Amino acid sequence: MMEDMKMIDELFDKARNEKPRLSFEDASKAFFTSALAVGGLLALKKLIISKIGIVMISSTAIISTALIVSTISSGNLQPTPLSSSAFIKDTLISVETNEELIVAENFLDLKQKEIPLLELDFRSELQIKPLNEKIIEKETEKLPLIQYPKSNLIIIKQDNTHIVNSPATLVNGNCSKSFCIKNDDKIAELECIQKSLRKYGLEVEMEQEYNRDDFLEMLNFRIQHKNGLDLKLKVAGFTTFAIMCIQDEDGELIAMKYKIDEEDYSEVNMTSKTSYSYTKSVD
Amino acid sequence: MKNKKQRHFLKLYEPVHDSFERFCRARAYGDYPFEDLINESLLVAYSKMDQLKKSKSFLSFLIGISIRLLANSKKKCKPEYTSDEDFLQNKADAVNNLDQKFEVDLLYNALSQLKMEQRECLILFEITGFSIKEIMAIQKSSESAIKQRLARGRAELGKIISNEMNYIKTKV
Repeated sequence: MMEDMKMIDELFDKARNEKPRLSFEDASKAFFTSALAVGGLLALKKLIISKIGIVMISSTAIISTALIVSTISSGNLQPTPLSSSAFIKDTLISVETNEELIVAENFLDLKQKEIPLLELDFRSELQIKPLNEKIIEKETEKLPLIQYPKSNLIIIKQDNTHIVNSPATLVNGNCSKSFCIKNDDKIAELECIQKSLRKYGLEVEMEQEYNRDDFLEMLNFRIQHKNGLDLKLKVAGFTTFAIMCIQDEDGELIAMKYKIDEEDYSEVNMTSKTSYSYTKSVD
Repeated sequence: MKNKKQRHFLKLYEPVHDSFERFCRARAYGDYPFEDLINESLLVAYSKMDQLKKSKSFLSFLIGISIRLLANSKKKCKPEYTSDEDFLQNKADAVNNLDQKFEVDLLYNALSQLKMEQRECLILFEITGFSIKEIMAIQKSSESAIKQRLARGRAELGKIISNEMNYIKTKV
């Protein structure tokens, strides 16, 4: 009997230490292929549903176009001439201004009255230059911050393939501080980060799971600011969560950026009086 | 976004792959192709990721899904050996060749002859390394029931393996 048990233990030991017969690479390859197939089916379903929608939209569009054409031809509405326009090759860009904005792939069309003309130069490094204005660049974690006249700071994220612009209305964003929360941080470290963020006017509530003093996992974040910001993030499953605070010259928080793991930064403009309230999940 | 989700999913899966592969191989032995079980479990897990509350319980989450898939499936894989006689003959050859793979297969074959709960319980405890508490949650059973399954399963397994070994010895 004892010998049997010993033999079983040995066999289990061998089974525990045996190398997998299906490697992680093969399993992920199979998973990707199947996920693609499942995704394809779902996409087909969506396509069929959207086709029905397109037919309805097309009929509406035909009626609207007819109405517009008849209005213009009757002389009630004159198209406004563009004060600035530029072609950008191989770039997808969008710029938010106080004025009307038209965005298209490989083409940027700005219609502005009060903002100075833009000179766009994408041949070397990305630059957006307001004429007769000093350009200020700041490198923050490979993220060039390019300042444009007040209320028109444009933050550009640049990766290897293309340049994407995220609209912003920041002012003099020249001071920033990053906080990085990892999923193995201790309570004391998290409290310290919370305290530091409070200095920027950010109240951060964290819902965590602990095993005694050891931080097991972060479940939810809630970030609030006096401007009405109420950002709720479901972060279960993350490994790092970074918060970047950007202040103006007077030390006032003008923007907050955050990112979960290797995602791109999402940005919240704090100068806006609009109140935010939205929930984001890790996916 | 979709790629990011897939990357995040695989990032969670990579550290638990070996354990999950061993569980699937042992649990599905003779019942279902384990590669299919892994892939199907991953697909289901991926579509139900929002139900995962803690990343640390990802392995339990996957195992729970694979158990449900096996319970719902009528698909049977081709047995690697047409009969126990074939298996043991093969085993005898393997012993001569000192092939470790067949020793593990001998264990899986013996496990596949146990009652389903006993088999699952032993695999989770002995091969996957789960605690009794974790198995209680997966099998939705009491502590005493789990302990009983482990004890009875081991005793039964001992008998089966010892019979097989005696047979192999006579063949060798």
